[in-house]
Amino acid sequence: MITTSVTLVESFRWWSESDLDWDWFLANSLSPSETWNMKAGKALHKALEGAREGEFDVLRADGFQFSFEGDYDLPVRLGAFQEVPCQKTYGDLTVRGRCDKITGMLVGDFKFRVGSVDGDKVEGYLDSYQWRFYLDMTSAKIFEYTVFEAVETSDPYIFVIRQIHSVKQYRYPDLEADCSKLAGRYMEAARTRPELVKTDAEPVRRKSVVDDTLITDDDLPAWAKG
Amino acid sequence: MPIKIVAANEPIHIDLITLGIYALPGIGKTSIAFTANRPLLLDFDRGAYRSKNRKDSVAVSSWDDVAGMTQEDLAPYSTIIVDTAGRCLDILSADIIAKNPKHGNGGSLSLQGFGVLKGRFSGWLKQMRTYGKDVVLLAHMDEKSEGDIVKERLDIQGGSKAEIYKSVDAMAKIYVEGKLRKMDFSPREGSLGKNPAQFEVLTIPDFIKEPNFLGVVIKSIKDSINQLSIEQIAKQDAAEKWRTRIGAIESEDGFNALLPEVKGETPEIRKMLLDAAQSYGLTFDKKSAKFFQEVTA
Repeated sequence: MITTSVTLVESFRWWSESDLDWDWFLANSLSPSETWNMKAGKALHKALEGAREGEFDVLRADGFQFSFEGDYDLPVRLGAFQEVPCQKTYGDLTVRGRCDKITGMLVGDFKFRVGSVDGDKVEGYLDSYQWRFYLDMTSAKIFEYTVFEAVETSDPYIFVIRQIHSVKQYRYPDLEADCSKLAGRYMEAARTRPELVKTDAEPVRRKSVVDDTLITDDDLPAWAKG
Repeated sequence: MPIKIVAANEPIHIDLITLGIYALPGIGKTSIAFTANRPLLLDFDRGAYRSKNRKDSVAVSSWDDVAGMTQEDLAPYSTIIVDTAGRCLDILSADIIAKNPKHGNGGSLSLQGFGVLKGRFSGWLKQMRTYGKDVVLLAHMDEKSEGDIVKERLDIQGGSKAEIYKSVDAMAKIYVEGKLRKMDFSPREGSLGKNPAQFEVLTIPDFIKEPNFLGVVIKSIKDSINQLSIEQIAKQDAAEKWRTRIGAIESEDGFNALLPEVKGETPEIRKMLLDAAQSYGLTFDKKSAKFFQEVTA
């Protein structure tokens, strides 16, 4: 039995549909360096995780500041549950993930993007297997990407959120079969590419749903994961 | 303006939808669209004359033709068909540049112009909803090769394409298979779709036998989305009941007593129990498969 992450399976799928070679995949997907914008994205996730209901001009985390100065159509929904671990086994492959939010039948993910969210970007989200796996691993029927479109400022730690986009997708009849098929392709590739077998990353500290304490899931029992 | 953050989604009942349909030219998108309930076709492409089951349509040559339509003008119709969305956005873009040349750049929209396009197009869609209309956006299909895969996309200028994808509640591709035309709402490798009603691939019927085909499809989509809302409320209520039960636990035995029941529950309920147990100071022992309080000497 091998384990991998939703992120890695999706990266594999994207790479397998491209003309890029394996070395590119190794450098950019398996061992990517964390860019400044990725750090900012993590900070925004942390800020949202710690947020409560209300109206905010600014959210802050890890030294970063996100200013809200746009004209937003809809509120940002945090979800009834946040940072929910889930997993599913497809033959010899266990795929693990962590949903940013779950509310009833809806699973959601927050995205941070510097630059415009144009048609090609939205097509990328719609093509993605991230949402497919999250729906397959939970009993949810709706998936929502909430994409924060950001603009840099003269201060590298300050971003202005120009727009917030909502991109929805739904469970469809062949969803489970499609996920199984991709898992099978990934498993096949992993037999000759050991780099595709993920080792567990550092434990993630996340907010408890019960109170505000931060806890880890180092010893997460299997039943709690999925 | 500040961002508003709310805890969770509020389930809502919908009476109207925006449906996207795309296909290669000549497949019969317009004919299919005319089987919606009481349709009015806005003919931006000037191709409505080709449709065999043509109903009311308005030839559009400038955005003024659209902007001038009042709620009274549209009262006899239930469904507004945009044929095609790409050409509609081209005409709206021309109007934006004509009204303010600073929003243009060499005949195309500038960055600010795209912002105005987004606002005006989504504003027009909202106006149609206010008037009580379903909207069907027809689009030509564009094919592009990426690696070994041919990707089928909407043939619409880049920035506005995002608005179409975000605004549609459901989206389907029409294609020909043998002698039949098919309608597929599911996303596939290389093609896009949104399938809230979880349709299998539909065979497009003879419109003489089923003159209201798309009207029935649209109703099914609305019913499915509203059913999802009902399920959403039920699931949220169930989660709140769990939150109350777990919140009332006051002992290690209490957490362990709930374990068998929680193991069959959804990931978020399992996480709720685990978080609560950890906050209570308990650790989960994988060998005994129970929570226990670590005792330090």
